[in-house]
Amino acid sequence: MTISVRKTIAVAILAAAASLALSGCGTTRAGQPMTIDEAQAEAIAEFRSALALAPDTWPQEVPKPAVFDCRIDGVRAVQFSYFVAVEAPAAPGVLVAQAGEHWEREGYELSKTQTEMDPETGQVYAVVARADGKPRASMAATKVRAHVNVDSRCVLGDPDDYR
Amino acid sequence: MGETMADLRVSYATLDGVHDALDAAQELFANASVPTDAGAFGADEVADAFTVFRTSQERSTGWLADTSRTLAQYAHDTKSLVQDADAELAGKVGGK
Amino acid sequence: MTADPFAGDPGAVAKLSSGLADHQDDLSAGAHGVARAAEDADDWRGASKDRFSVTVGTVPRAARRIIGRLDAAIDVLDTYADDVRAIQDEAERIRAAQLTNAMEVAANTVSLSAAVGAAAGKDATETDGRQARRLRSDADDVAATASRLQAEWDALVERRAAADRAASAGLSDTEVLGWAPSYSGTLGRMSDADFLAAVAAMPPEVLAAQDRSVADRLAGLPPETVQAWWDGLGGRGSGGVHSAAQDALITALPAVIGNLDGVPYWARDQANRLSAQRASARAQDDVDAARKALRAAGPSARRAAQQELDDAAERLAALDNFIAASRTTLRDVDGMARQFVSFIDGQPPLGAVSIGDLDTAVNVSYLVPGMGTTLEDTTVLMKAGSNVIATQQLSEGGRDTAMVTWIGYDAPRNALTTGDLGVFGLADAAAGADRLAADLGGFRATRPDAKLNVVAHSYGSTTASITLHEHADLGVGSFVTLGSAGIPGHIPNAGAIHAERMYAAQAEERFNVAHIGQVLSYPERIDPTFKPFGATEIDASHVNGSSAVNVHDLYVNPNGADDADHGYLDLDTNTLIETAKATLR
Repeated sequence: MTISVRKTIAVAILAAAASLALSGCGTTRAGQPMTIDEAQAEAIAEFRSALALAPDTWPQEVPKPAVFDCRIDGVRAVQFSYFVAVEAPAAPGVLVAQAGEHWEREGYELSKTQTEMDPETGQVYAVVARADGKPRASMAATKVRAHVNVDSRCVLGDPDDYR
Repeated sequence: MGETMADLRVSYATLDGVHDALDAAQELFANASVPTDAGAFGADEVADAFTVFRTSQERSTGWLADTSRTLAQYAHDTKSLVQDADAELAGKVGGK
Repeated sequence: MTADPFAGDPGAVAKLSSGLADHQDDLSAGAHGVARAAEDADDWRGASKDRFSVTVGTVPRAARRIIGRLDAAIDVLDTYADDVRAIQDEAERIRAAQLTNAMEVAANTVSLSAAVGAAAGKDATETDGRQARRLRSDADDVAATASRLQAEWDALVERRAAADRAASAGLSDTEVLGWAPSYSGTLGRMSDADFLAAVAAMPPEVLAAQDRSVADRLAGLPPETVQAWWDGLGGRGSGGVHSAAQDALITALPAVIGNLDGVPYWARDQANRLSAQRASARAQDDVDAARKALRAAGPSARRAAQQELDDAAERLAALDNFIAASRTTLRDVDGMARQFVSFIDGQPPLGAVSIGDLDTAVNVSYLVPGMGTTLEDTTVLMKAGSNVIATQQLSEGGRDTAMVTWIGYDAPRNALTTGDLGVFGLADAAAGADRLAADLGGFRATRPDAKLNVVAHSYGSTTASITLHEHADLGVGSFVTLGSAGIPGHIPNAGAIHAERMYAAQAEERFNVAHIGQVLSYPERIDPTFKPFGATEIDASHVNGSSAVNVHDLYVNPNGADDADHGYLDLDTNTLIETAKATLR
C-alpha cells in the first residue's frame, strides 16, 4: 500500500472514530440523579457489609476513599473508591466465596476467577460483583494478602473538591 | 512522605503560622532588588564587574526566595497529611 | 582605552551604595522572618519536621553571608565614589590651569613675536632687546608649566585607572562574590574529583549563583562517579537524615540533582519537588499575564492572545497534575513512598513519579504510556500503576516493589482527537527511546541489584521496544506490551528485544485503536501477539472469570453496568493479573 493511500485511510478512520465520544471513566445509565453524599453512603454501606462478613479478618473502619474522575454523558463527574487490604488471611478461598455468596444474595452478577499466582504463592481467588444502579464490589485473596474494593456510582461533581 | 500518623505531631495553627511567616519572608526576598548602575561608573571594567556582582546577588537572593517558598509549601503540604493535634486533644478532653 | 578622570557620577555611585544597603535591610527582614518561622515550628515533631529543619536552618545563615558580601561591596563603592570625586575635582583644577596656561602661551606668542620684530628692527633699543629676552624667558616658563600640567594630567589619568582597577578587583573579590570569577575558568580545567570537591564545598546560595557551565558539567558526569561523590558527602542519606552539603546541592541545583544518575532517589525526589513547584509558580504567573494581555488585546491580536492563554493554561494544568501525584489518594498504596524520579522543565515539561522507594525496592517496573500522554495524565497513570502494585502484593514475591509512571518523552499527539498523524511514524519513538534508555540505564547503574521490568502501552511499546533492542545491557527482566501500536519492522522478533521475557496483550478494542496504529504505520509495524514474533501472549478476553478488555485505554475504572468498559490495567481483568505476575518472575 502506498504511503498516501495509507494516510487517506488513516484520516478517514480517525474522522469516524473522533466523531464518537471517547469517554474516560465509566458512565452511568440515564436514571435518577444521585447526590455525592448518597453515592458515598451507598458505597460505604456496601463496603461495611463486606467487612462484616469476616470481622476477624478485616478491620471494620472504613478508610478514606480514593477519588476518581469519571463522566456522565460527557460531563466530568466523581467516583469514590473504598479499598482495604490485610496480610496473610486465614482462608483466602473461603473469604472470597463468602463475599461472592453475599453479593449474589444482594442481587449482584458475579465474575469469579481462580488461577495460580505463582508456585510459591499458590492460588489467587477473585470475585467481582456488578449490578446496574449499585456500587461495584470486588475482592481478591491469596494466602499472602487479601483486598476488598467498593467503587461508588459515578455522580455529578468535581473530583478536585475531594482531593 | 512515609512517616506514620503516630510519628507526626503538630497543630493546624502551627503549620498555618509557619506557612504564613515563610510566605512573607519569600515575598521580602523576591521583592528585594539589586539596583542597576545606569552608567554611574564611567568606566567599563567597573561596570562589567558590577554586572557580574549583580547577577550573582540576584541568583543568591533568588535562592533565598525559592527556598523560603519551598519551605512554606512544605508546611502547607504537611497540613493536608496531619490530623489536627489540637482538635484531637480537644476531642479526647471532651470525652468523644 | 585610557581612563577618563572626568567620567562617572560619584553621586550616583553613592546612591547605588545606598541602594545596596536597602537591599541588605530587605534580606535581613526576610531572614528574621524565616528564623521566626523556625521558632514557631517548635511543637512540630516527626520525620517531616526533621526534613524541614535541615533546610530552614540554612536560610538565615545564607542571608547573613550574603549581607556580609554586600557590606564588602558597599565599602568598595564608597571608596570608589570618594576617589572619583577627588579625581574629578583635581581634573577640574588641572584643566582650569591648562586653560589659563594656554591663554598665557597664546598671549606670550603674540607678544614675543612683536618683541622679536622690534628688537630686530633698525630702530631697536636696549629696552626692546630686554623685552624680547624677558618674553623668551616667559615662553620657557609657560612651556614648562604646560609640561608640568600635562604630566599632572597623565598622572591623574593613571590615578583614575588605578581607582577603576581597584573597584573592579574589589567587586570581583571572593569577599564580595563568595567565589572568584576566575574560578569558573579554573573549575572548567579541574579534574572531575577536584571539581566535585569544589562544588560540594560551596554554600548553597553561592552554588545557585554559578553559571550554567557548572550545572552542565555536573549533569554530564557518569553515575559511578556521582554515586561515590554523593556518598562521600555524608552517606547515601535519606529525606530526614542527610548532610548540609547534600541539602545545599538539592536546594541550589535542583534541576541537575533531580535528574542526576548516581544521586539517591530520595534526593532526586526532593530536588524535583522544588523544581516542579517553582515551574508551577512561573506557569501561574504566565497564565495571569496571558489573561491580562487577552483583556487588553485589540481585535486583530485577540486570536494570538487567546492561543497564548490556552498554551499557558495547558502547561499549568500539566505541572499541577504532576505535583498532585505526591498527594493523590490511590488504592492501598498510601503508605508507600512517592518519589519524583525525574523532572525536566522543558517544552513540554516531562517527568516520572514512582509509587514505591526506588532506593530500596527489590523489583521496579517502568510504565511507559502512549500517544497523547502529557504530565496532565500523571495521576491517571499512577492509578493504573497502583492496580499493578495491589495485585503484585497478593504474591510472596510482591512485597517490596515499585512502579514508575514514566512520562519522559514527548509522545505524539492523540491522533483521534487532534488529527495529528505523528503516531504512525517512528520519529517520536526514536527520540523517546533514547530518553528511556538513559533513564533505565541510570537506574541500572544506581541499583545494579534490583529487578527491572518495562510495561508499555500503545505507542509506548513501540518506543520501549526500540530502547530494549538498541541497549542490550539494561538487564530488563520482563517486557510487557499492552495494546501495542506495533513493533518496528527492523526488530525481527522478541529475541531481538533484549529482555529475558516478553509478553504481549491485544484486546478486541472498540475502534481497534492499536490495530490501526500497527497497520497504518509507516514503515509498517508488527503486532507483537503475532505468534512467530515469539512473545508470550496474554489473553485480554473474558478468561478465568475475568472481564474482557474492550477499549484501548490502560485504565477506565469501570462502574457496575453490564456493558462497562475495561482497560488493560483495570481491576477485574486477566491482563492486570498477568502483567503483575510477569513483573514478578
